Amino acid sequence: MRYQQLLVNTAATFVTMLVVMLCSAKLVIASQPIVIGLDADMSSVAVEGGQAIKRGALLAIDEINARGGILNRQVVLEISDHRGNPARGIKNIEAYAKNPNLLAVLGGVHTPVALAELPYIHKHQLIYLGPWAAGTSIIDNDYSPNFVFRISVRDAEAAKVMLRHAAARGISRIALALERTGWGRSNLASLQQHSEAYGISIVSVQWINWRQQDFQQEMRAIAQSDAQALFMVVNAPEGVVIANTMVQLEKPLPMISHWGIAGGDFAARIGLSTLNQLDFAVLQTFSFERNPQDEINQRVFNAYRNRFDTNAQRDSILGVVGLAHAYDLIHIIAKAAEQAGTLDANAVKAAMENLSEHQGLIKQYIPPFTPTRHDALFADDYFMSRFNALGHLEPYPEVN
Amino acid sequence: MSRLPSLRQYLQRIMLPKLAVILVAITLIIFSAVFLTANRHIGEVHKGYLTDLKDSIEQSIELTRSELITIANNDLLVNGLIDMDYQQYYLPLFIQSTQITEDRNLSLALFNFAGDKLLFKNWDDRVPVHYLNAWQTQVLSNAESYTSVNEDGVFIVAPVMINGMAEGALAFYVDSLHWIVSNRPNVATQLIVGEQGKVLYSSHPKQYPVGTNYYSLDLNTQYTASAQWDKFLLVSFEPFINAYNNIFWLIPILTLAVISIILTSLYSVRAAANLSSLTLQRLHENLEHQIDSSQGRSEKAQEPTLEMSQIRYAFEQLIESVNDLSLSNNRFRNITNSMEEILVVVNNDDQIILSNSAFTHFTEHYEQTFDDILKNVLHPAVRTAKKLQLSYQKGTGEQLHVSWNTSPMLNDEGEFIGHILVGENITQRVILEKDVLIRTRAMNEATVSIVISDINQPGNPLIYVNTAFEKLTGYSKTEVLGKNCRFLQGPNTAPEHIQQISDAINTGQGVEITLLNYRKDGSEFYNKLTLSPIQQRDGSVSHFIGIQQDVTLQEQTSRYLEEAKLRAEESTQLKSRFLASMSHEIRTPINGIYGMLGLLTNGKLDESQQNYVRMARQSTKDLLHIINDILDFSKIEAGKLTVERHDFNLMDLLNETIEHYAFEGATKDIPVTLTCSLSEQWVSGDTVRIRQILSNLLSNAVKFTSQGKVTVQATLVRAEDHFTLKCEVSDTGIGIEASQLDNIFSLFSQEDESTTRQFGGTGLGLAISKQLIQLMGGDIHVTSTKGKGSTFSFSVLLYPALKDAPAQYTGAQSQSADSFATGSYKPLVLLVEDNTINQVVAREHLNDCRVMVTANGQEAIDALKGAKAQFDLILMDCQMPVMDGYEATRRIRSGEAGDSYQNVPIIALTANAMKGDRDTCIAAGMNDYISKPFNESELRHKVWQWYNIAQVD
Repeated sequence: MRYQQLLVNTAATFVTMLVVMLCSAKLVIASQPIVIGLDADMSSVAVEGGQAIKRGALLAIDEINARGGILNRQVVLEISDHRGNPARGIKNIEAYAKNPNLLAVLGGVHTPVALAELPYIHKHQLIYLGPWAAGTSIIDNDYSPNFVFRISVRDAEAAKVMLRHAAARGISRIALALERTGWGRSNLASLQQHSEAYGISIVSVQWINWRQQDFQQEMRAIAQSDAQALFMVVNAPEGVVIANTMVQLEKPLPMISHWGIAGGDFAARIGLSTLNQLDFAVLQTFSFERNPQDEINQRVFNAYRNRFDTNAQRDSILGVVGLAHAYDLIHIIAKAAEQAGTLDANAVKAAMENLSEHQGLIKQYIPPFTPTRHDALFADDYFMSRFNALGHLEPYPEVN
Repeated sequence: MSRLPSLRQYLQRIMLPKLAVILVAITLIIFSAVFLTANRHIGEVHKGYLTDLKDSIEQSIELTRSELITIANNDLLVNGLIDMDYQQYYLPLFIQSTQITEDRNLSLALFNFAGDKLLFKNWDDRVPVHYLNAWQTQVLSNAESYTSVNEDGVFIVAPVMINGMAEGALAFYVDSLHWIVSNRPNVATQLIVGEQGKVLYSSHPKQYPVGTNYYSLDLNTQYTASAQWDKFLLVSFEPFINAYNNIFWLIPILTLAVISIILTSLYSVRAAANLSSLTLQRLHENLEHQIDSSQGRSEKAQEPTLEMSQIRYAFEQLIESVNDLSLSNNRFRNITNSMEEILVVVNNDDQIILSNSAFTHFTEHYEQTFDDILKNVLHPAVRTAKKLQLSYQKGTGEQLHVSWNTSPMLNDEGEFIGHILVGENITQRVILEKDVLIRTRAMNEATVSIVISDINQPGNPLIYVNTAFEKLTGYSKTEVLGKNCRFLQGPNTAPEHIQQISDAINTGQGVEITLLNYRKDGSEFYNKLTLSPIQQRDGSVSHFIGIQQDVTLQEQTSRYLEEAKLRAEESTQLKSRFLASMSHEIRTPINGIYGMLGLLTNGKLDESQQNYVRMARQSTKDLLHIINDILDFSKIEAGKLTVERHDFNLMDLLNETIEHYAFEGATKDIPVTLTCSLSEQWVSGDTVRIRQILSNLLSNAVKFTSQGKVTVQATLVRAEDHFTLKCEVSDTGIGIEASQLDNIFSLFSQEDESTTRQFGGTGLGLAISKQLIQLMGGDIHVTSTKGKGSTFSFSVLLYPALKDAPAQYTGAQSQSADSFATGSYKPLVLLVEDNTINQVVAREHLNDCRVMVTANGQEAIDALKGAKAQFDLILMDCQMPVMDGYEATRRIRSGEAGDSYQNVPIIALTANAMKGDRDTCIAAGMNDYISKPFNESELRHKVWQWYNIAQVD
């Protein structure tokens, strides 16, 4: 009996201690800041895109922290550099999954990385926010529940906008230059699907590898195909190779580009003199110049100048779309987390899908997302832009 | 004699045994040399094979490595790392089809950035396990390739690079060096042997297969060479028979050669002995024959050898010199006759034994008999020295001085047998000596100090000083001769003067300087020293003559004057510099106040506030006016005020100036009128100064007149080459007391202090005006009656215009320039200004431009270099910390901020309203100039104007 009593007492003491420890552990966690991960290319081929996303996120986090944070906890941005390499991205996701304070992971420019990360995002049930990568299948994945939300271009929609722009300029025969990845293939599919509707035929499809240095052979094929314009779905380094080859043609073709080239400092890499010889139309979703009187536009632009670059002009911020997308995404996830009252991914996901509206930097989202629609921007929200003489992007005047 | 051996036998007996020994030795040496050379040659050949093998290994590994790196950086492979979902369609094919060596079973594997294996062929079970983890750090972290060559194979890994970092790795393995080392064509066999003795590579694998143990091979009949490479043994070998094959054929040839050498030598010895004996015999016969034929010149026999010929030559010389001796007597006579000196030799009986032609000439021309000479020279009444100087006179009066030297003549036994008399003509020398004596006396008696020093002697010692020198310095001749005249210098003598003197001496130049010297008693005096070189005939300088004068008094006086002048100038400069900098310091804040008040005027103010601001603005303007006066005055003081000359329209100038005061007068209901008669309108002169004078007089007139009127009367009269402008400014104001009229143009003068209190002003205006008028070649007068008014009349000189009058003279710039040519485009303006208030003022005035501000020239250049956008125009303050506006402009113009800014319009903004500032700005490369305080319309006007000009360009 005595022995049994002792056992019970010991067990009781143990349980009490365990409870106390758990509680204190929970208290410790509650006092630690909430983490939003940024998993993007910060040092390789789309550094400017990564930088813009980071700055947009930081501007939103500054505002959120200034009004008390999320669930009364401060918010910090934790950055992992995937250098555009899917294998590194997967490793980053695995590391974030171990962090108990994580609210969500903000992605980067590269579609192949996002696609490769999908199985791990869903395995660990993390909220993944897409501020840039446009691959259609990032959102239209086969996972249920789907933890991926995006404020960015959707390739299927991008194809329509680029084709509409070409049609408005009287172009009916186009050649394609696509990067040999999931992103290039996703766009090929959309362009093939929609081109007929705009009376446009694809007369040549050329692929370019990452780090490919020579595009002469492909350019000859394009020139012989009698195309009237070249559609480009590539990042800045490959865009520079293509543009430098194009400028050698006797009559360079107009180039209509997905926005990949805006993820790196394309204008600086190619040089203003070459750039000014070429006719570029680039897909964009946002420019500070479009609604300069808008209150949020002014607030964010001023905050950007104060915090990052006092000399910034409305047209001079590189990768400005990433900045705007990240800014709106962070505010929406903050709202959702407040509404859910917890960091639990399933609860936050449900809240994301059920927000009624949000007044953002890009537009008023009514509603931002629904259980069946995890993309927030569509063809009507996109516009084409062009490089001005200083190499800054400005809205394309006549067609839009 | 007959018992001696013949020369031929003697030579043969001595030479033959020695010859035999030498021949044997030579034969031995040749044979051993041939063998050694052959051996070394084979060694070299094999060493060459081994070096080739080494090179071949290194090249093969390097080749394989660089091939692997090339494949690792193939863009398809790089793309495969990124394109995860489709990589399986092309990467495996790529890896499978990659062939780097002849080994069809080579192993290849592709790893990701973390070292995980993605794709491979022939990998598992083939690659030794110790390779699997050895390379990761070096390849993936350091992004370098990894190479390992071992007994169990060759393992190479290359990084797959994206933008400077390893994002993956490609690994290669073959199980033996054999697969990558290529064969070199040579007859010998080469092996690479591992540490354990295993053969890793063989150039003849059929005889010596790869994998066998090297130490079990039988290589005793082989020539073998080896070397070490890394941890491997390299061996090259071939059979001895092969190795020495190429020298066997030499043996019979060498034997034949030795035999023929022996035979030839024997023959040579015999022949040489015969020849020597024959030759000597012939020479013997020849000489005997020559001595027989007495004088020996009849026959010139030719000797067959050099030695024989030399012996014969020596004999002939001997005979010739005996003949020559008889000739010398005649030559001796010729020599004595060619002497200039008189030579006569007499014996003990006073009879001439020998005399020369000079003696004959002397006796004939100077009518001297031999007895006269005996009497005067050989036996004079009084004999003082061995040398005797005598004078002779010709009938024509020509004098001859002769120095006679008598010496005894002794025979071979040393007995006295007569006298030798030699007479030297010293006439020239005597004349010169007299001349020198006179000059020396003259120098010695001179009143200026004269010294001569010999610069060819070490230390350049004095060789002459005169009496005046002794008087001047207190030193006596004996004290100073032989010394360098440096003893005159002392502690306060300027080193540069000493240097000047020594430079002059070194270069052989004359010099004239005044330097401080010391007398013997230590007292100082200023010595005006004139040094002249004395040149020799060949142009070289041998002496310096120095003339010294005591100029202590003059020197002191001039020093006092110099110092006094310097002090006076210094104080004037200090004063004007102080004023200039003060004026700048005062101007900057006034500009700020003026600008800010201007901004206030544009704001929402009620009427009284508007009024206050207007008054504050007027006060600021007045204050600035006072400062300008002070500045002008400071320039007059510093003697810096200058008058310019350029073409202008006098009528327009008068009208513009008076219009301004007419407006001011109108507020007090006082009309200001101009009447003029000008013979010419287009003249040349200084508009700024004329306007200043006129403004001064008009502002006084309007200020001191409370009712009535102000009139200006101007006439321009033509003189020969200039015009005279006469102006009269009359008012009906308070007037001036007659007693004050004389002082009215003095500095700081107003009629009395109460005037200052009532009307303000510095009292400098009239003084400045007077100075300006005088500078322009005119004068100013005043007549006045207290209480009735004053009339100031002045005249200045003007000049005909340098160029013809322009057809249309447009006074004011069109205001339509104040708009942009491009409509909606906002020009990008860089404002370089350190004063925050001025920054704000300029920014507000230019609210339809994009204005970027930097605080100094350096920041401006950095901004121009760094900014992506192109600035259209630069507003440049002149005085700033770190780098001022002039320097910054010069640098921008030289292209330091980029080629695109070399011609950008730069407008100076400056508080320095000094005359000449505009020129400084233009000289620094600026395009235009705005003086602070600037008003909105002026600033905008200049900015638009230059923006539009730049756009048109």
